[in-house]
Amino acid sequence: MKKIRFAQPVIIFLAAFAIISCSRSQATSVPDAKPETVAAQPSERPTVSETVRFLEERVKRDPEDFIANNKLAAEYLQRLRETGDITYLNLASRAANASLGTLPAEQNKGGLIALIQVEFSSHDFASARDHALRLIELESNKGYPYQFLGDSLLELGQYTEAETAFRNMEKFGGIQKIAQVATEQRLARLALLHGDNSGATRHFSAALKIASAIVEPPKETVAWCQWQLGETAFAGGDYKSAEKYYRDSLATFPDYFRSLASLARVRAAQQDLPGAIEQYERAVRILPDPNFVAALGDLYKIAGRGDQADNQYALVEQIGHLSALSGALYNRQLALFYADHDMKPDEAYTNAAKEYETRQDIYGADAVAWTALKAGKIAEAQNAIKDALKLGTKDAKIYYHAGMIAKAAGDRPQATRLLKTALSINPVFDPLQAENAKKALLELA
Amino acid sequence: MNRKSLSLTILAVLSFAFSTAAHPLGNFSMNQYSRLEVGKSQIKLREVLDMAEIPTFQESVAIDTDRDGKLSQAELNAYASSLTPQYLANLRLTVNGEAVPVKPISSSASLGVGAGDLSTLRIVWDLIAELPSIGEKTLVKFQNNNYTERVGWNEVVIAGIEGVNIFDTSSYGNGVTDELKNYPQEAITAPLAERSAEFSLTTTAIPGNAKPLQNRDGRASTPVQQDKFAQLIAVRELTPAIALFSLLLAFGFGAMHAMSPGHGKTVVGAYLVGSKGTIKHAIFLGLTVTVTHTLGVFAIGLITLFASNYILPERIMPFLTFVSGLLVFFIGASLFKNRLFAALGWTKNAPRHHDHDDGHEHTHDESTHTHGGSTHTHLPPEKVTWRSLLGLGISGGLLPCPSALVLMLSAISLGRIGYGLILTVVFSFGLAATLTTVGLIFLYAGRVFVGTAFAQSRLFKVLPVLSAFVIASVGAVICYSSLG
Repeated sequence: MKKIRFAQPVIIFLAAFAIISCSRSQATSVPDAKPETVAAQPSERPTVSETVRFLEERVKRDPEDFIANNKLAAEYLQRLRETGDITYLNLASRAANASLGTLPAEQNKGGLIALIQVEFSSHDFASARDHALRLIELESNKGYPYQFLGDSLLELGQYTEAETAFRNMEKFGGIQKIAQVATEQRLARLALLHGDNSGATRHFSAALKIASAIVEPPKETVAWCQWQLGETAFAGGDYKSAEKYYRDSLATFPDYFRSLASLARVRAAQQDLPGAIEQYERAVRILPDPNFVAALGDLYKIAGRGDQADNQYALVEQIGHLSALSGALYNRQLALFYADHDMKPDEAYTNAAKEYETRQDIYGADAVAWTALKAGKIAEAQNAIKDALKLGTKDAKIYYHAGMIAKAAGDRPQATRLLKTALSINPVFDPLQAENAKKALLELA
Repeated sequence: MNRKSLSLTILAVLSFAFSTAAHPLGNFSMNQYSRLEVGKSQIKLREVLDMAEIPTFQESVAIDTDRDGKLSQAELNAYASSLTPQYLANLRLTVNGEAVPVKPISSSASLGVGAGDLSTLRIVWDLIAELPSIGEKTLVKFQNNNYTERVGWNEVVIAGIEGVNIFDTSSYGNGVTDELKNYPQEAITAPLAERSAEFSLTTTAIPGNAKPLQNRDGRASTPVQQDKFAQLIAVRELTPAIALFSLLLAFGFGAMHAMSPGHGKTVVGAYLVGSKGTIKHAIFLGLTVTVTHTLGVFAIGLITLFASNYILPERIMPFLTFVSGLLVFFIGASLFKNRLFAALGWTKNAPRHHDHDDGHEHTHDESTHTHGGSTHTHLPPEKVTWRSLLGLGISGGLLPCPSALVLMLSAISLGRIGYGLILTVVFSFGLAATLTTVGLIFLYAGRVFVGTAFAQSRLFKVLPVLSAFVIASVGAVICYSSLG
């Protein structure tokens, strides 16, 4: 029997960082300083490390080496965060299952941790939550199991329980810097959800500061913090700061797909349509995420390039089609895409409502509300949007959806108030939808 | 069909590559394979680009030029051709620090069926780079800078032809995916990220402290055997002397090729053992093999060029193998029955009595006897039927030799169809010559034993029966293997 070892907390925290779901965004218009700087940067994917090859060789020689499998899973998950390539999620899943197939979770916490992260990344939040609870039973006096639990609960919309979990994470987290970074990130996330954007900025800044002070700072973690700071600035309409953070992020981690796409969005908000298109094209070349593709389609449409817009919209549908074959990774994105573009209203509503049955977070409620409106179900939309606004999240898109629902329900004062709120939070939260909001306001006037 | 599109089609067929399996990597992936076959005067490169479902869908806008929603072979070929300059521009090849241009020979594109019935696109390029003269140590560097920003599987393979030694390289002599046709499915292996290669080469012995090129399992890489026959068509200048010499070589290659496994040597031998064949029969057999083989090369070549969209050559081959096996089986089974019955004396007239021209008479109750001063045998079966010979000849020549096929296709591509045809015919003659010679050897071998004690033995008497059984068995095995 091999000697059982427990995975080091550092690896765990590193691996767990960026599994927080992407934040939403908002905006003001600031001139573009040097848009070409990023676009002209050399593009090269980070290659698979020697460590990965070494570990792969180990498990090939000895498939029962569960420690090597656990480490491999952590490496693959890191690559997934860096590249967005789902291949690494599948590989991590194989490694985690191989590890737990060799030794059960009770004696193999590293395997359980890998499995939780795979489930989280696959959007199987309920399983991730259940396994996090199992991990807490095994490691009740450590901080990181609560982190996994809190992250899953947050995605499932169980906010009170998530806050409790994060408090426990803080309580048991210890003094390690990487643990502190993880805690600050969670506190920032909670602040955002509760509409405290400046609090979120404070926590993200603290996380960035601590991460940068680590000897050999984990690049992707630093880049993620910078990107999140950009997202928070964008959400408040501070495009200049947002752009700075995105550029910092790309300087830390070149070709970081999240920041590439966000930079494109901020360009669009700054009315730099050609620059935004160029930047999105680049982002889509690197990772055809349906959100990026749909946004590019919208910009083509605004630019009068209808055919190209249609091609991008068709691509979004194909990605959704493929995604549905292997899981439900893009269900929500696809439902929102349909609603935004007045396509397949019933299908979009059905999918959003189905997902909301098991995942009742505010963004799920928002998706139900928006798709319900497009499907002509005003009452359902009104109910759902209340849930979406319940935490007081300062998200222009939710207020925009709420305003449009109120307008459809004939509540003109409420509609006007909500739409104005949306545009005051972030005037160009979305190139197409912000214009629709303005048009709606004119109609209401 | 113009020469360019002809080349494209040739490549499509020669690569025999048509992946229909769902893509195992991410649907976003853009996968590339590079193989450098290093010769003394040139490097042949094969580049394969395998686009998964999403990039294929993205590119389909550019491919579907007639906007009919379908990607025709012509559109695919046009797309591959249009991509070629850009793709080649991103390949960097240097020899001793000097950039060497990489020139296209051919390209081909084909669609596969991926997840959700979406298409995947596969493009194959065959390229060539002329090498300056190789010194004792020539340093080669290769870099593929295409799609560096895309996720995917990237694989590089190095191979040296006989006489070229490759050493001091971190690349390997063999691949993993069979040119991106079979990715590791359930393995815990991150996609390969091989985009470059650096190696030294020499035509002399490698330095003592150098590490020779290895395969991925750590074994030494074996040099590539060149297809010398197919090279005959590609001579730069075709003078009468060269043509004559090439014809002689073609005959020799054909003769030698027949010595390799297959081609019915066993069957011909087994058939003629103990039979009463003549030189006329042997020549007829040779001619049948020649004609069948030449026609086969032509037929497959034409299908390759003009009908590969409808009939895939790799699907024809097993069918031809099956037909060939079936012919052999029926000849063998029929012979076996006749010879067995004859050996057991169950033939209609046995024992029979007849007169010979020399006036003597006897009863065939024994196999060998002497009369008129000569010993002869009446071992069953006595007769070689033309029909059996025809079947035998067809079965021997039905499967076109890959070398001959490559030569013929290259000949069409180079516009040397007549010359290619002559070379193929001469090659087929060489092939037939070996088979005929083998037949004659077996034919006369039986006669050598006449009058000897061996000829009186029981084994000698049942040998024809056994050989017929061997023929039938060989036929059955060929049929079975063609099904696999």
